[in-house]
Amino acid sequence: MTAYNNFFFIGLPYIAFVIFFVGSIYRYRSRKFTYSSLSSQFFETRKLYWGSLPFHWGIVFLFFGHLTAFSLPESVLLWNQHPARLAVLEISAFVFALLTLVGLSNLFYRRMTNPKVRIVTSTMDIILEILLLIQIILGLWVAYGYRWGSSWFSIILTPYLHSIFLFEPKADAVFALPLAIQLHIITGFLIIMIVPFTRLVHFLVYPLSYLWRPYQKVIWNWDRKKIRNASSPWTIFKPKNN
Amino acid sequence: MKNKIFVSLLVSILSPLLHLQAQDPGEKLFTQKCMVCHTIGRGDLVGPDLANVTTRRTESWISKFVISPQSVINSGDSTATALFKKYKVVMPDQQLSSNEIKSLLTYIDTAGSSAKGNSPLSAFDFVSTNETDIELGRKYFEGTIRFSNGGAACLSCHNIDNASVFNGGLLAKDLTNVFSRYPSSGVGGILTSPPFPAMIDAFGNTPLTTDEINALLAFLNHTNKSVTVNNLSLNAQFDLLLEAIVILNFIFILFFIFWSRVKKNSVHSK
Repeated sequence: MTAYNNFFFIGLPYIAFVIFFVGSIYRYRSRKFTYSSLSSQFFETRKLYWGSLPFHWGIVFLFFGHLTAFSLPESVLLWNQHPARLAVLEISAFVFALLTLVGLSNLFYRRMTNPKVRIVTSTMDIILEILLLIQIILGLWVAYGYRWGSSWFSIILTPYLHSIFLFEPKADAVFALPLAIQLHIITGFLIIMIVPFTRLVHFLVYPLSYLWRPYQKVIWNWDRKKIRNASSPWTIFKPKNN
Repeated sequence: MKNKIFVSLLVSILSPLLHLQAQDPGEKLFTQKCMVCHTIGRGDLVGPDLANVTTRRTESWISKFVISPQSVINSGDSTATALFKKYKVVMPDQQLSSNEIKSLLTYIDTAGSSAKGNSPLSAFDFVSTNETDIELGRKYFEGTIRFSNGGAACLSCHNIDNASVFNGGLLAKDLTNVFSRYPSSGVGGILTSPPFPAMIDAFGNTPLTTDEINALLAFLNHTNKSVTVNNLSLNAQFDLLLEAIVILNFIFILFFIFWSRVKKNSVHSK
């Protein structure tokens, strides 16, 4: 049991971070043009709205929530000192987790059922989406079954993660945690590990200026089907971009 | 005369140091690792009284159990299962070498033979606690008053089924009837020097003061007497889920509003 624990909570984090850093840098230096979310908005746009939007709003909140508890644990504990504030934080986090789940399920359904999107789907896309689905379901289970995660994350997981980053791993408390939380941690490390091999790299090169410029939508300027259809003359519009 | 005074002074200064140096390694280990939950000849605490433990169990069994109690219980060992049934808590794993376990057992044997006739550990004096202590304990538990050394509120991980207390965390044991499970000296011991890894992380560098521990004991004793467990926490969980779903629906209404303004086709239409 100790060997398994040591592997999953001490070995795996280091393996994951080494692969993440080396892989991400290598990919950026050698295949810069693959650093992209590979938008499929050209192929399908309606279902994407109901998938991508809720998913990204949810995951960004959850990501920064976990990051805050990791980097400023004391501030989270101070916020949670008042039960009403604790409830607001926990319910908001739960709502955003549900939002992520709904969005991700829609995206997964779209990717599996839309033939155009299916054709540009790689095996890693499917592995990543399944891992993310597992992770978000585990996260909801943890939030529901072992509530006030924002507080105990700051007490138990922050010192553990700090110990990993300081190269003095101390995981005794993590060894004793319930299985759902342990699985959530392990899946988290697995996701970090496969980042360089997936389209998830796009979060590393997020163009910050997008935050304050008007949103863009990727569409065809010309209807390719119409243009290429011999029975419908297109001569009135000269094709420009395909 | 001067020499005599000097020698006696030297002896009086050095003798406590000599005593410290001569402290049995087993005794040191017992104080650090075992004393919170076990006594030698003074009755059960969180775990059993360890007097004469070497006559009740074999050394190899004790070694195996001390290193990983959970795996011995999982292996179906009847003694370990019976102990778990009786004390209702699994002892944390102890990273001890076989030599350390040997010295620990030697110390327990010697201390056990000299401990005969010792009175059991005195329980916490609840008679002298009053409403103010109980209220203070409740505030410490909830975290509305912070512990002076900055330790985290109990509510982060523990729940108490009591309408007057905000719903607590569900990560660790429910403390509503903690005094039915452990004697007050055991609960006090856990708070003074936590044996569980998560509690060590929480309070290792931010120990509770005696006053804080006493207020918490008064509060826990009060809830133990006044509350019957009625699964309030489960209702609260259901409420949480319901509230989250309602808010989620509001967010989707916002998405619908934006949807009306979004270009819906993949091809630019004139």
